[in-house]
This record gives sequence, C-alpha cells and structure tokens, in this order.
Amino acid sequence: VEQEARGPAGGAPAPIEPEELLVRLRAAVARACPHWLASEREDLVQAAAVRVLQQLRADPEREMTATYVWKTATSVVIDEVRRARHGREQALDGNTELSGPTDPRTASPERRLESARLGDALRACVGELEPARRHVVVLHLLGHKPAEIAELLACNAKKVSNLVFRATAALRRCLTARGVTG
Amino acid sequence: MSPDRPARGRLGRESLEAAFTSGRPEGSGPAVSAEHLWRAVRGELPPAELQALLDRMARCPAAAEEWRLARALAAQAEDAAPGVRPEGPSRPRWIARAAALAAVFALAAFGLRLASLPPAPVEAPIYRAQPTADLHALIEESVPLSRDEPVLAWTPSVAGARYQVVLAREDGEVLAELGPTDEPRVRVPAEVLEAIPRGGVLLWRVRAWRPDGAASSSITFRQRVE
Repeated sequence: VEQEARGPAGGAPAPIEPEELLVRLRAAVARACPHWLASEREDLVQAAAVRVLQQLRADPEREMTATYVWKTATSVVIDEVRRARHGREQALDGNTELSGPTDPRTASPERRLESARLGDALRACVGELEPARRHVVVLHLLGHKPAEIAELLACNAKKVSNLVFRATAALRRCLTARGVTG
Repeated sequence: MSPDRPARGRLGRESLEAAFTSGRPEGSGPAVSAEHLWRAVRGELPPAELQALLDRMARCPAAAEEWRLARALAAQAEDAAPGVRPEGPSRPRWIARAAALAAVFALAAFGLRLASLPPAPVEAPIYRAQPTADLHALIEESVPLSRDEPVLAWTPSVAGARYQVVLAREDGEVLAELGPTDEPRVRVPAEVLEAIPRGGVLLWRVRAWRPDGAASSSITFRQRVE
C-alpha cells in the first residue's frame, strides 16, 4: 500500500516545488552515487531533474504526491546511471575488471584494482553463506541497520543482529582463507 | 586477528561495503526494473521476491549500486515533511513553473551561461558543475555547422582515450549518443540534423575515457546549424 505524503491536516497530497526537487535529488544522489560516477554526479542530477520534470509535466492530471515524484525520480536516476555505465563499459571494451571507483581524485588504478578483487572475493564468500545469513549480510553490506533489515525481512531485530554477527565473522574467515587480510 | 572480532582495514565494514559494489558481475541476467527496486527498498515485495533480489545483489555489483540509489531516493518520499505545504500553488501554476524550470535545467545542464538563457519566471541558481577535463571544441562556434560536412571535432585527451558524444536539441532533449570512438571527431548523423531547424542550435558534449578507466567530460558546446 502506497503511503502518500499528505499535508499536516491529512488532506490532499501536496506537490513538491521544482527547486526543492533539485536540492533533494542532489542530496540523495550524493549519498548513494557510485564512485565511478563521482566526477559526473552533478550532470547526473541535472539530467535526472530535467527528465523528472518532463515526465511530471507530461501527466498533468496525476496527483503530485511525494511517492509519485520520488518513484519517478528513482526510475529516471537508475536509467541515467545505466546509460552512463553502458557508455563506460563500451569505452573500456568490456574490461569490467576495473569496475569500481574511477574518479581520479578518489582512487589510484592500484586501489581500484584492489577494491575490485576484494569485491570479487567478497561476493564469492557471500555466495557460500546459507540463505538466511546471506540475505541479512547483503542488506548489512548495503548499509542497512539491524532494525531496517528486520523490518524488510519481517523478523525480529535481535535475530538479525545475531545473523549479522555470525555472517560477518564467516565472511572474514572466508576472505582470510582466500588470502585477503586486514 | 580473531575471525569473530570486528575488523578494521580491508576487512572492516566500511571497506567491505565499498568492495561490495566493485568488481566483476557474475551471471547478472537482465537488469532489475526500477519499479521492482522501488518496491523492494520500501518493503513492498513479497518475501520470496525480496530474497531472490537479495541473491541477485550478492552476485551483481551494479544491482547493489542501484539498490543504494533507490534506497536514498525512496527515503526522500518518506521524509516528505519539508516539501509538504498545506496550501501549495494551484496545479496549473505548478505545472507552468515546472515546465519553465525544466527548460532552465535543461539548458543549464548543458553548460550554457545563464546570461544566454531565455527569461525564467523565477530566479535560477547556477546548476552546472565545472567541467572535469580540458576537452575543447576545434570548430568555430561562430561558424554555422555545415549540413554537407557536419563534423564535430575536439582536442584529443591522452593516447588511447575513447570518446562518446552526446547530441541534444536546445531544449535539452537528447537526440543521439555517438561512439565510443578512438577518433577525436564525429560526423553528425543526418537524422540528428533533420531534428534541428535551419539556423537552430545543436548542443554537443564529449565524454572521454582514458585507458586507466578514468572518465572526464567537456563543457557543452553550442553550435548553430546552417
């Protein structure tokens, strides 16, 4: 069930100002923009803002609820990221070994390669976990807190904390066995 | 190090979180729809679908990146209080402002000076970040682009760089993305030229990838077409 954003009195859904959309879009993208897109982040925000406004304008009868606006924004931003990723992969001739940070201001080629290798080893280790631990630790690695994981997976937070603890311990053992050390 | 002890360095949480979106995808399959991601991060997916998606995240760094973006954007919807006004502007006014601002954003996003923009109904801040590369146009902006020889050229980046060129109309609508190419020049396709009226403006922008994977972009160039 969609939770529509409503005014203080619980009345009709309120619109969002375009200026505010841009500011909040910029903040959200800054929080989660892939490292390899860092140098183009502002361009991504601009392009997404344009497309969101165009899409909202194209459907003038639609109620401009917060849910609708941000659902549209999510679709547009992900589309823009995929477009940039596709261009980059083509330019790199499919050399996905270098997936990961490419902003020269944030990482050297050696660090990028090291991070990519760690990522490969990490995913291999995550894949070896039993499903309950795997699902919890994936959300943990995506930055979710135990209470959020519990809500998403419809289980209690205490159980989640235990699973996270055991799963991360297992991951570190697995990584160490694969030659990854702290 | 004890395997059960919280670790720092490469095995610390921060390092592992960063690494989780790095590296090669394995068996990724088709992209997850944005709708599906939106529902997942909002807790609206049935358990079996969510678990399948989490298994996908476990294999594919790109999908994990997109989850993080969807989550950050969905949080904006839940955190709607600052944007909620009990008596907002009427719909026609809002739509009109959105339309005008969309045009402003489009032009600003393509790197034009605000001074050259059509009058906007509201005071517009400067939206465009500085370009990240030293890629310059090698064609004269003051000379209209020939429809017979519509070639765009720019200063090359480092040896081995590859380029992609985005072409857009003045209102910001993207008409084509050309490349990647090894050459620091492209020929504008006939269908793009057909979309630009005589004397109209073509916006173009170059993105360069160096052999080490670093990316950079030019400003957006503005070229009148014959």
